[in-house]
Amino acid sequence: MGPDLCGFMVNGHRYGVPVLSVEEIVRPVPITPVPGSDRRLAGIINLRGVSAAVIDLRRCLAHDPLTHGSAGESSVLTYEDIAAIMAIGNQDHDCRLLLMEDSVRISPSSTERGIEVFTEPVALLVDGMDRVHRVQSALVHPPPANLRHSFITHVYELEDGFLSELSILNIIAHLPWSVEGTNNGQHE
Amino acid sequence: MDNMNSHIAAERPVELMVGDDIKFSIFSPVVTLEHREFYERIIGELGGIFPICNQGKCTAVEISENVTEQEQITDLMKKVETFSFQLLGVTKRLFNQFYQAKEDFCRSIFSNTSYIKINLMDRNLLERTCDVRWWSLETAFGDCLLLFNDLQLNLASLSNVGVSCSNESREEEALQFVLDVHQQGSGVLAQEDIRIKFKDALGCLCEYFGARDGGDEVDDILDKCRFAVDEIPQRIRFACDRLEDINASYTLYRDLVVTDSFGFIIANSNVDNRLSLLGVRVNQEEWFIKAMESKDGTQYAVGDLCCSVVEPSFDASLIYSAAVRENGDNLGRALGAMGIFFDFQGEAQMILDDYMPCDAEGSLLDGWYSFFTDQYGMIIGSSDMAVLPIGSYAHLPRKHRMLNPGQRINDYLVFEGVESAIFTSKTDGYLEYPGLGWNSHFVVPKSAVFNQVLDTDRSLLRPDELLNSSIIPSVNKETYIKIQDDKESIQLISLNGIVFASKLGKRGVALGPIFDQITKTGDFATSMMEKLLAEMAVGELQMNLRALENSSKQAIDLIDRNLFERAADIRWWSTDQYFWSALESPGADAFEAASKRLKVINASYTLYRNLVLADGNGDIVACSRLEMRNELSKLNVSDHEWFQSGMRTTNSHEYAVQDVVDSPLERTKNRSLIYVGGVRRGGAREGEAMGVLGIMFDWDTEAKIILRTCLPSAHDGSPIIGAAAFYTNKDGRIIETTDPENFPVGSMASLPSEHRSLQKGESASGLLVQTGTRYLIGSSRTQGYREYEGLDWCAHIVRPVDAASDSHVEY
Repeated sequence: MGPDLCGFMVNGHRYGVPVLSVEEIVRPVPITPVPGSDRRLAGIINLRGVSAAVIDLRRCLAHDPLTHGSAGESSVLTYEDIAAIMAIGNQDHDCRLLLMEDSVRISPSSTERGIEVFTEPVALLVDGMDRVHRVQSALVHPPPANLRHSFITHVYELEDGFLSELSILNIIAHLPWSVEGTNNGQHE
Repeated sequence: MDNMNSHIAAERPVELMVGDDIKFSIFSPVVTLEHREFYERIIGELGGIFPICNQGKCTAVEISENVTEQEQITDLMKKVETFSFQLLGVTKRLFNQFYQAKEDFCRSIFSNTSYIKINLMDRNLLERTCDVRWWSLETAFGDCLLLFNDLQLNLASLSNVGVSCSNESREEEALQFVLDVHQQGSGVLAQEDIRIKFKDALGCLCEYFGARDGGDEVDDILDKCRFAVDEIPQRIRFACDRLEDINASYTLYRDLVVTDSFGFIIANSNVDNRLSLLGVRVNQEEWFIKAMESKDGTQYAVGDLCCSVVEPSFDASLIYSAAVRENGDNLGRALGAMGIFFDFQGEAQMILDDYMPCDAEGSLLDGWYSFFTDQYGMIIGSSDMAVLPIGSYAHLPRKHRMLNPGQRINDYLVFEGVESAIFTSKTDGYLEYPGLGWNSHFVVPKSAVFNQVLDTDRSLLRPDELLNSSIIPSVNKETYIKIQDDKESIQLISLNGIVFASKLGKRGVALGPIFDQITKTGDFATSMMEKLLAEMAVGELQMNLRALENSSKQAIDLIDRNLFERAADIRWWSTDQYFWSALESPGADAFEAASKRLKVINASYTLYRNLVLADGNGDIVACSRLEMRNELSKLNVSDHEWFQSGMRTTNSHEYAVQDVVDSPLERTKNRSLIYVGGVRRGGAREGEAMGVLGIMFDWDTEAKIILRTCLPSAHDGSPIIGAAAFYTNKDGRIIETTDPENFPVGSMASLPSEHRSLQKGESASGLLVQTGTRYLIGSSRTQGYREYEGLDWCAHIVRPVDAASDSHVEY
């Protein structure tokens, strides 16, 4: 039996991450943009005392460079971006935040089952939720060979279409991330 | 993770439905069976969630000994319970709103219809007050009355004459008869048989006094009397002719009569009863008394419906009256009275039968009634004589009989055994006409309010589009958002529950089906509610379309009725003596006199910009705007359409009108609407036209006023931003508008094909896209009014679909 995947929608496509790497799914809470940071990072949220960096998957997985900035592109938040971030949740009722486990809080049993998480708390900003999928290994395909990036680790064939499993660690690796500087100090 | 589950609840405090006034409970008899079933299913499904949650709480104890984990699961279940409970409340509210929306809308439509009816009547009656004042100054009537007046004076001087011989009883009798006539009033001589007797008596007296000496003075008086009596038939004939002319132009009257100051009818327009009517005395009738009491030519009198000897076959006559004055002068001595008998029943019937739904065979549907009552609540006009006979009192709640002017109320009641809604409006008059305190009542079956069959084929907009549009009242939008929100919350709890359960590994498997079931139930209940909301939105849309159709019908009716009056005016004026005599014997003086006459007319009828008289060659010879005479006299209009069609008329019943054009007659105006009538030799009713009289209706002003009255308003009566009204002519070109920016005059409206191909009197509604904005549109094509056929115009009323201030934030 394969891992359970928590499915969600980004830019009209279906992606997923292992359920065990997800701590909680919440409606958008106010995001504090960090001026000067990369456009793919929407800012910081504070969820019951835990600060998490919000990774805007819509930017990370964008395929239209004109509207969202292409994958891997590095540019700084503009004034308009900041206004848009402040407005998240007012216009789009479907968008959600996936609060991810971090390496400190993840349960030992999940680690045993091969779930890899980032060292710090991060949250994923997505367009909307799908559901939790129980996937069969027989229906797993490798990622398409023509991809320029390594964000997608597997592609699953489901009854109603495909689901691409994302490696959040690979996405983070593409971001200009200073591991030392941003820790909120809670776990060290 | 300790406080993870408290997060959502803390962020969204539980909203209790306290203080929500639920008017339409699911047990209200107006709620349809289908909806009750719908409700049962939603409640059933949601009710099923509570045992599932209990089961979840039990499972928590089963699968985990860890108290924290147990609490987390129990918390999740509690939250699901809370949201389910809220959804139950929302469901009730939703049904309430659903029926409230229907009620609100029907109320605004039907209440408006009831008001439109009385308002149409008032507008019509206002025109009648102008008519009577204007006509009573016609010189033909004054001339006729003067004759009777002089006769009366001469007879007075005969009263001291005595006949002294004992064997002269024949002469005595004759003198007595003559004095009797004087006693009654000379107007009695309008009766032919009395006149003949009177003439004989005069003849007898002449012989008697002629044979005696010293009777010269008496002889002289008798001669004058004989001359006057001989003159009477001719004068009466002439006065009657003029009345007939008027009635031929203005077909709204059953009869028009002129009386002398004693109240004797000396002329009428209705040939059929003329013989029996002339010489009849009406001095006891209120209309006559009031007219004689009027101080000058600007005053008129109108009483409530009453009986009159003039119309013995009618129980109720509506009579307008004014004094006939010497020399047609406003301030002249009152010589008699003019009474005009408005065809109230006919007019009321026309108005009452309008806006009533018919079945396939064209007969009115049962349970729908429209009727007028007078200030005492007596029925004076009715759409159903068998159920609501005129002269009886309808069984109305007290407050529907005691309204203030302009007030509108509605109630539910059982009417003729049917659960009905009644909408009552009291007249508030129109302009300077105060109205007679009448009420308009409109009764519709209650089922028509609540059980409309929705025409789902006519889905012009998707339900979700509709729910976000400006058409749906915000309270319903809030419910929509609340339902969406609760649905999302339940989904989110289920999803987090599943995430949570999978972390419990094998122990969590037992929780999986519970969360699956919660998701399913939540989805089912909310999708049912969304369906209901969609139905509500479609209903609201259809009501809107209907309201727009009604408004457009009102707009075209009002202009038709207005233009009917114009058609009547032109027919009447073109028979005026000043005009035909000016054309018969042309000359500077005659033209001057004609111009002055036009000016007098124009002063009374301010809705004309100018009146012009053109001779047979198309030269303008006179006009009411004296300052324009020089300019217009250089103009030849022989190639103008209005002139040519006016010249083609062959009798005084005909008139012509040119659709709105840019005319050189009015260089300062872009649009002129010209009515034209033929002027005939000697004012004859038939024959070739010698020239034409043209009247320039103040189209822009009048049309704009009417269009503005017909603009739609929201439930609460506030104006709708972006709504517009406009008229198109037969080619579909806009001829007048309230929104020159989006629907400019002269442009073609991009109407849906159904609206372009409307037949006479038909209405349609639909979706219109103009300059990138989507509008709901209601259109009606003219149905004409009485013998006025209309110009094949359409009225259109539009309201924008999308809210004007809708800004999008780009990510």
